[in-house]
Amino acid sequence: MAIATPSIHEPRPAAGHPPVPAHTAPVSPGKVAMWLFLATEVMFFTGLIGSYIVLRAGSPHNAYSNLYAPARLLLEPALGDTHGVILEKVGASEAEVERILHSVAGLSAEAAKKVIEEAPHGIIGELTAEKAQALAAALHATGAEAKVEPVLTHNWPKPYDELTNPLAINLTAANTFILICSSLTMVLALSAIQRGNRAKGSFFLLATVLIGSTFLSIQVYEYCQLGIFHHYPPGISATGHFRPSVSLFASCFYTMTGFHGAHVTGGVILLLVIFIGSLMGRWSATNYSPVELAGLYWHFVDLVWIILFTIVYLV
Amino acid sequence: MADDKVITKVLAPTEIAEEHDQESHAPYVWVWFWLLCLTVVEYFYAYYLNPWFLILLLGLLVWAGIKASLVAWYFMHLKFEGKWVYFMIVPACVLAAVLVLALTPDVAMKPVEEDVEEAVGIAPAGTADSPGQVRAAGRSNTTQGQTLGA
Repeated sequence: MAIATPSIHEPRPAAGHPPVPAHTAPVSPGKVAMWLFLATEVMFFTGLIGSYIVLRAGSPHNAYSNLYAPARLLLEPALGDTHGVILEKVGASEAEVERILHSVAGLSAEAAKKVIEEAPHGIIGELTAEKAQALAAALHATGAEAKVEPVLTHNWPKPYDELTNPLAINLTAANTFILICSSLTMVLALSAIQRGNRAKGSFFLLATVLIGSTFLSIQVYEYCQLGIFHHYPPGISATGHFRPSVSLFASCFYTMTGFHGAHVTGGVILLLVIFIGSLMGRWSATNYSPVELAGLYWHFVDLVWIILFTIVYLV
Repeated sequence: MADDKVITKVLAPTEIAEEHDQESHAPYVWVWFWLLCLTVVEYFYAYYLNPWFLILLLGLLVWAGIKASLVAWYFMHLKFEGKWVYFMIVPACVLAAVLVLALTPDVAMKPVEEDVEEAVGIAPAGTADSPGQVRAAGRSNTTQGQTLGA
């Protein structure tokens, strides 16, 4: 029994039969093209995530610490033997705390003010163990809360460690869920259009655009908090702001999430165009391919984020 | 001609709708629910198992892998696609692993101190040996004054 080989054009039925509907063709060129593109996107994100993995694996064991700026211990290894005091609560008298910081720890007025501002993570470093104990005791006497900490080093910022890692895991976990919701609305939009329900299709497309935009807004908010508004202890950044130049972790973080954010932005714009098309009645049960292809891209972006969130935020 | 079998078949409009129905009634909301559950599991797993790096890493990769597979299988309709898709995805994933493995010796591994000193002491300028050679690559065979072949 001979089996007719499908040609690259629409498969031709035996003579006398009506034309074969397009949806029973093995695959459309558009779908092949989109999957091929997604394969190249796998390579693209591998370049980012793979680099992150090897850079992290190669990061020296004392690159990050609870008391000193990233990489400082690589340049000044002697600091590894020092102690620090973490000012957690200023207490009633700020002026008294300032005076003690100046007299016991030798901080200038400006430096002392900065430490007070940074409470509950106000770090006074480069102390000997005895000095650190004396400073903590003096601070306790004024009603402030402070604890002595030896230098603790890590090869990479630890999740949930507020002294080395500034990332808001809770907010981003919620954001991950938000992006997953947008994937659901996308597939429901496609499903609705495939069944000929255009109104529902448009509704779900709009929902996808809005939810995707929400994800982007939260990312932008997080960037602003990290880079501009929030002040972080020295273990995170020498300048206090978490910007790409402050550490290898920071530059990796911004590069990876930035490129992903750019992909999401492109996806939102694409879906906006698809949505406008749906309002114009372009898509139907027999013509839905662009919706499907845009959906493939959108799901891929979600998939990458699932992996990115796990590797960058949680590990 | 009656013996010839055409791979594709002609469907009546109702059958098309039914086929689409089957495809579109795939359990999307169920998948979304499981993705939500897995996100919650992942979150608490990361929170409580934070101190144990290897267990944390392996567990998180499992949860993330399951989530990614759910999205790919059901949302991206890999379940309904032919084998041709894997001809694109699998090579990309293999190359991805190759990229990471290829970068590992230069970026992730640290040079051993004695090899560095030996390489710096023995190798004259212009040889292929360079400081920071990884131990796994083997020690230099050159003796003083001898350059490596071009």
